[in-house]
Amino acid sequence: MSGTRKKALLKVIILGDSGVGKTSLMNQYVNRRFSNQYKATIGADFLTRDVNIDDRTVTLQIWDTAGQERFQSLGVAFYRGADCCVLAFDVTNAASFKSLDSWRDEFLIQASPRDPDHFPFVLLGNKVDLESQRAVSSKRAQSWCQTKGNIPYYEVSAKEALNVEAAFLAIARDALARESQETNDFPEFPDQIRLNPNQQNQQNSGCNC
Amino acid sequence: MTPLSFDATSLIKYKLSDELLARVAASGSLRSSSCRSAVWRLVLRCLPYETKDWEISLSRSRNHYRALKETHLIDPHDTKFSQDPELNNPLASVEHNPWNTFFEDNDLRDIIGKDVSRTFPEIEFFQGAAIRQMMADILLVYAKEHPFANYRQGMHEILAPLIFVIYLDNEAFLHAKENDELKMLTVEEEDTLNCLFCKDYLEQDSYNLFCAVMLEVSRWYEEPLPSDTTKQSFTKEPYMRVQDSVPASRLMEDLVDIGNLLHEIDPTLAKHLSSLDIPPQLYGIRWLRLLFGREIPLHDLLFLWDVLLIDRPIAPLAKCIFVSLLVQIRHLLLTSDYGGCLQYLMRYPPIADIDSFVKLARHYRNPKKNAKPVIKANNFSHITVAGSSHPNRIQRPQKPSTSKVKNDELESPPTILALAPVFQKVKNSIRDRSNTVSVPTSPRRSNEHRREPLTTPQKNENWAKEVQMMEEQVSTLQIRLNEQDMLCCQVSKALEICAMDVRNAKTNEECVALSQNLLDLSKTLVSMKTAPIGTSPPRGGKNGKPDIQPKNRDPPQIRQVNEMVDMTMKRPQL
Repeated sequence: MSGTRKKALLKVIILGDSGVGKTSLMNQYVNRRFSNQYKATIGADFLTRDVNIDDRTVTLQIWDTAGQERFQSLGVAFYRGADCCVLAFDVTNAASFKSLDSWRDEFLIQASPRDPDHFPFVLLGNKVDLESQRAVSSKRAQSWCQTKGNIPYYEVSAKEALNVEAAFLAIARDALARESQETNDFPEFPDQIRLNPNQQNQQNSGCNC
Repeated sequence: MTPLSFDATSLIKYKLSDELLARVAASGSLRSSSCRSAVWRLVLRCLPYETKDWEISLSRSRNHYRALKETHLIDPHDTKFSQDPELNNPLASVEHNPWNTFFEDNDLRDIIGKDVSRTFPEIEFFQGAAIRQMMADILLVYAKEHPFANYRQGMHEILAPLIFVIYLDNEAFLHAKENDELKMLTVEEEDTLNCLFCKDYLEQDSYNLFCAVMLEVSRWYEEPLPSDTTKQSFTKEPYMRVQDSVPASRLMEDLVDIGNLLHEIDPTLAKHLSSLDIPPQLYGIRWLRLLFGREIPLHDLLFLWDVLLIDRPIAPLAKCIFVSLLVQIRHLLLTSDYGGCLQYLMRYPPIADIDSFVKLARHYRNPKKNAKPVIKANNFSHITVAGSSHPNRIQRPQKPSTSKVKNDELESPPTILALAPVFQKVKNSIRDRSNTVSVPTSPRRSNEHRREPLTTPQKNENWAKEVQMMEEQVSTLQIRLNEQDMLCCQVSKALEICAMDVRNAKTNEECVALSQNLLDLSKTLVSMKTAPIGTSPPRGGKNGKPDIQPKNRDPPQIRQVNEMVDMTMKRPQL
């Protein structure tokens, strides 16, 4: 069913340690604004943005999560149906880089996509505007990505709006491309049996009076 | 008899009881009082009702906190530890090395510090180093003292309003004393109040009150059951949605209850949200954990807490407040899709009339005792509580597009509404500037080389004053905007009704009456420009027709929104 389904919605989940800038990234992408006045995210947050990709309008539903929140407390099914998982860390904070493994593993365990090795992850190294305080080199991040099945890596700055747009666009493109390959990340119900699909089309085509 | 105003001396004058304080809280008179913190401490049993026992009780709880702080906040350099470098050094692998605990606590300190520095960024009070240190210490002591609750994100925003309220009351008491407003009290009575509102114990008293509030709220912070049980239920139900999972914590249980309660109270809305797969579990975590601290602006939140904290256990009323928040914006939710609904729920549009809202929640809590208020659709749906423009208004215009409506009308809200975010932006930028101006008071910065001539102390002061004045002006303008916005909504509704009546009108007399109505509406719109701040929008009159004669309008009142201005005027210097 999902192979033929025209899915104009993409569910994107942002995960990472507290304070790496998940909320800032989401707001920079959606509102094109940065503020250093964000409050800590409690539970989860949500914003949408429409993008045009190859003449197709796609709505990105972006879920921003709390850095201290572990999956169980949000409910197992919270992450199901995700089309892409964005892992974020702070390039000036080595500990946030070290946590990436556990964020990725927990996502795979809890969301349990059908093909965990090929589920689309993206890694964002945020706060590259603070180059002098950098604690994680670009090379180190890239080699981590290679060991996880060539996850795309973007160095971004939510503050300077650097690469954020490009990264999310690539995320959307990647997720759309997977969709056209008819991959199904989450096993769903079998196809509905439509007794008379033509009749339904007629109903949709407008009124006869 | 409910006292009309309730201040510090009322604590002494009246015979205090739960019933009296509940009436005081519900009447809203704590909003302008200077003893809200004392009332909270009384109803939460941090203070006994017998005023003569206060001093003993206070000194006990204050000493208790001091002892806890000594136990839990480890300073390895403290002389109470052996200062033998063999035993006390960061690398020594001996038992009872204070450094071990110190390092263990570091992660916790780090998480707490990150959240504390992000507490109410719009309120200057929380930007001070002393207040931040105080919050961090209280939260660390609480976490160590309650290992099962620990520290979880969000607790800082339960603590923050408590400190703020105690601080404001202490300041107000000092002020009253300086102005000789306590003359009617005996020396002993004044001493009792001196002891209660002593600003030296802000930290101790805040901890005490925080623990009492957390007794009620901690159920929503508990860790869920171990993950193997969740996994088990997961393998049983591979296709489940969020709302189908077995609730693994009391938080989730309560959110399920809330879903059921909504279904009883407003089945249409409940069906709409469930057809979109938006159960309370999806957005309600923050609502409960912060006791609605992000859904309702602080000055209204404190009033809501007045009513909530006295109705213990608070969970039942909290659930009713939750449902009321949904009913309050049902017109927005019912016309929105999945994304639109979630954006309204995650960025709740500010409520214009908090009094009716609280009445509605209390009605759901006890329908027989509390009458149902008339609820108007009175949210400022174009902005968020934080003051920025609402994402649903930027990206998804809600009005149905008809060929007659011009495109630009669809894209942008009416002019007055469109101005609100602009004003907010100006206000924020002013605030940003005022923050940077006040920064040089910290010693580290002042040692730095000064680049800008602006930072000379005298100019600084002038700047700060000027900025403060502008801030107040902007606040006042914002209030005026909100008022006019409300009035616009009301008038537009009245016009709609008129239009309906015109369609149904049969006799000439009816038409004359209608045209008079229209003329009155037009007058209302014109007079709006000169209407004083705080003029209430016209209330609905008989026959459902809005009553728009100026003479029938309510007398101007200073709306509670003004408290926001007051807060900045009380600019604390810590």
